[in-house]
Amino acid sequence: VSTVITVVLVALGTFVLGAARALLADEVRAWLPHIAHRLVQATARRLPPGAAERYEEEWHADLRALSDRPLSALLMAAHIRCNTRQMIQSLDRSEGQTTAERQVVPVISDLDVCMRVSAMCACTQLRRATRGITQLYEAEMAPGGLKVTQLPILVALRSDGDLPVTRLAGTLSLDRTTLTRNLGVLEQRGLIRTTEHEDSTGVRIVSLTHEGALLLARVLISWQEVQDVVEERFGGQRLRALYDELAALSAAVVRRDDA
Amino acid sequence: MAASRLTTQTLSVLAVFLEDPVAEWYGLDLAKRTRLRGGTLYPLLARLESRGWLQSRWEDVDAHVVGRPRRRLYSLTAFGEQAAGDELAAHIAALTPRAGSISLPAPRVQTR
Repeated sequence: VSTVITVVLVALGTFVLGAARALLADEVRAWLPHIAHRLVQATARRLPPGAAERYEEEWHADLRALSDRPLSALLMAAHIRCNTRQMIQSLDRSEGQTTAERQVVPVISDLDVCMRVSAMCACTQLRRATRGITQLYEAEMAPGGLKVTQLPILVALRSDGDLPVTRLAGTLSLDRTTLTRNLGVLEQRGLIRTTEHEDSTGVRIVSLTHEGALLLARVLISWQEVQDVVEERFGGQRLRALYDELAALSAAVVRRDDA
Repeated sequence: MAASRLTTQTLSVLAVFLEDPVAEWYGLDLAKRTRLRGGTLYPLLARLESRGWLQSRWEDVDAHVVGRPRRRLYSLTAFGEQAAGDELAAHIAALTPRAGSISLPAPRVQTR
């Protein structure tokens, strides 16, 4: 009889302990994100006015992105909290400048040149236009989650079939680092596949997967819509004339470099 | 050319930005790419931003639609692109041994 009682007690004890541990773990898991959010909130509020609100929102967004890893989120929040002083110093323009930075900054302090930069800098103007256009296209294609830098990759694979990475880089005029990063993202999403070429060493072949083709078909519809809007508002002919001018600009710059 | 006087941590962040000078990154993504922790990365980003090397903007999304808060996106300014390129070039030049001091393996030739 005593053996039976012992067995029952041990079983009961194990069950109670297990349940308590699970409860405690759940409790801790529920509290970790809360503590992390409170930590970054406290840190942000020590920052100068103006910066406080921005960083509170920015860090909360980071923590939310880490919500499936509450411990990482807590460690990140704690690390930010420990470096509050560095953060405050960095926001102060006059302090903490390294020699290199101090040397570089006076170069643009000349007012005349500054005004020419904002009015005439070809690079700034083109980048500004690029940024606006990128936002427009990406907002329209958002449901597909495709970046405008990734779309041409899928398009090239759809129209030309499987391609070696180097050929693809050439076709898209991309450097290999940028292409490789985008290929990694696309491959992780299962939209493309890279395989080693059968008869040669080191040559990787990129191909569109079935999922990639399906997504592309969907995104192309969104692309057509936004493209129609752009052509309608700006004018198709004017757009083609702009492309000719841009090509001429690129060519002119290349020629000057070679000379 | 003198070696860059920026910290290697700063250089590692700038290197990520220089890979695609018009790309925009948010903090957590940069932390993953550079393996810097939040308390190191954010003061560094704040310094680069206050010096005009980086600019930032709020992501243009509706939090209810995407189901998460909007993120702060960082990108290089034209000035930052130039300055960062110079700094990295200086850093690489300082690390590269003078001709003849070490023999480097021949670069692999791309077959295609």
